[in-house]
Amino acid sequence: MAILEVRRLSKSFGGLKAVDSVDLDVEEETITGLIGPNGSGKTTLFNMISGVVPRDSGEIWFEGKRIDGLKPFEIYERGIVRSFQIPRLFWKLMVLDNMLLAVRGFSGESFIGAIFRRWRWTAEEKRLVDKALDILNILGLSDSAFKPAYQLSGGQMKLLEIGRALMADPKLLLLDEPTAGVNPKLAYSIFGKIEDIRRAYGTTFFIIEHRVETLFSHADWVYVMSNGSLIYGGKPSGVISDSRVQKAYLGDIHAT
Amino acid sequence: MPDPLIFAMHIAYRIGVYGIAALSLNIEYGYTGLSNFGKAAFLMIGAYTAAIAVENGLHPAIALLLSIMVSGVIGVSASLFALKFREDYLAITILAFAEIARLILRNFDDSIRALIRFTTGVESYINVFGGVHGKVVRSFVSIPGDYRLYNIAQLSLVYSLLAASYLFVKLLSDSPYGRILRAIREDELASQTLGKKTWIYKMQAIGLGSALAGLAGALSAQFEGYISPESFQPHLTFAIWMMVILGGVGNNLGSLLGAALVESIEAAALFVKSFLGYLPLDPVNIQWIFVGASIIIVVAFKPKGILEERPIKTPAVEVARHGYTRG
Repeated sequence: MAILEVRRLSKSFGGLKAVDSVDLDVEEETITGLIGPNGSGKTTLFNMISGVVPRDSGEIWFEGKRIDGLKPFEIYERGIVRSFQIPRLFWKLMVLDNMLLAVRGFSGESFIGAIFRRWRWTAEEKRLVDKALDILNILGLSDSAFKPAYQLSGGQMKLLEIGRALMADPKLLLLDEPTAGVNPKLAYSIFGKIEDIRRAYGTTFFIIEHRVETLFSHADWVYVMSNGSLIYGGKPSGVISDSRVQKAYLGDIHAT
Repeated sequence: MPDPLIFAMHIAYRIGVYGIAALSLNIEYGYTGLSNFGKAAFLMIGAYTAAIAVENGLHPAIALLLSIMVSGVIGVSASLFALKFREDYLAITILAFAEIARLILRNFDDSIRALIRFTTGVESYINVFGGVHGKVVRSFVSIPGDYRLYNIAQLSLVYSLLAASYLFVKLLSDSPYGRILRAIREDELASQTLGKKTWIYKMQAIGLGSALAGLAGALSAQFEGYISPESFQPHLTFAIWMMVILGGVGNNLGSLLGAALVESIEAAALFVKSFLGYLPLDPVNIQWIFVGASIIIVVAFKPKGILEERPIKTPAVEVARHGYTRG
């Protein structure tokens, strides 16, 4: 069953059609990849799904309900959490604080709650800290839990973004280039961890990635975008031989 | 020749009042990253509310509560408009708001009188805010005769309220609520994608900051005994900003330290003027040079202020941290 359905979704910036009438489905509990040359509209598509950028036209359905037009926090409440291409961490806060900020429905986060329900949120936070430390342990970040986020390495920042998203118990995780600027070994281990998380929590992943070979060894389904349009959707094994994909990446080899 | 003890008590009182004001800006700017350049207006609103309340025979405690509430409510209403803008626009919008509020208070009585004269031909003597002439404010404390005892009573009033404000801001900043305020300062969009309704927090931060500023304004007004719109010009706002920047942005103790520093420099200038007799120039004019120089020195050597921001301390995080460092 498709957890996310995108129908005729379009977005223009001035005269540029960043996303042009895109239709796609993301099946539940899959790892679905989205690839395409730079500037093909992948991140704009993610921005529209997560509500960061308003759409021009089209529909987005999540678990059978329309979510286009909702605000980012409402989309989060439905169960979609995203990461950013360039990590957007809370830099001066500790890694553990970054994790705790993604939690859903924490009673200490309201003004009244913080002042008058101190015992209650302290008990809640004890459980949340344990959960955060478990996730940090899976991601190999437990040694950095009490460091400020800006002290992490580039790869660790990427991992922390994934970990932070996991604190929200998401149904669908949108990851924008989780391995950008990460060495190949760590890239493989990031995808290994994504597999582990899917198995453990049944999370669906929709991943923009440029490391095609790494993605293909883990993805169940792949979409390819070029110049704002979707040009391929299918098994990863069929991508390389698809003529439109070859043309998008390599140019038209027969034209001269 | 003024009594040096009274002089010292006066300075101590001002440090207490501006400590509350600096704490209030620390909530807004230090934690939430909101550049409130209209601080003086919220002190003014608190001061005038208290003045009018005691004038009409209300109990000082009720006058204080009213100041906190009126200032807070006006702060929230101002933020409804100002928070639509990005940070730099917010700063200039709220500065303009503060100046408008000050000019309204200055011209309100005259305008109303002119309006009544123009429409009915009757000369009226409406006097609400006092216009340019300002307003005499009755003190909250009345101990006739003994000036020292009176000052001690005043000091205990302001320092107990300062302690309460400090405790309140500290409890709030070391909580999941304070964590969200800081997250908004670091990255508002990321906070929204993690489900935080950031504008509610920003409104509350401005509301809380304005309420505390109102408290500071009311305390200041009843002690000084006289207020006029000219006492709340933008340089008062900048003085409060200097306290927060000097002491350490995002550090509550730092705000208090900054208030003490800036007020002490001002006091030193006044002291030189009052006690050293004839001087070739007015020391009060030099105090801003000292404040400016201290800002440059502190920012050059300790860019984060004298006391740096500290990590959020909630009980659960502290327990985990100690387990971590031991294990």
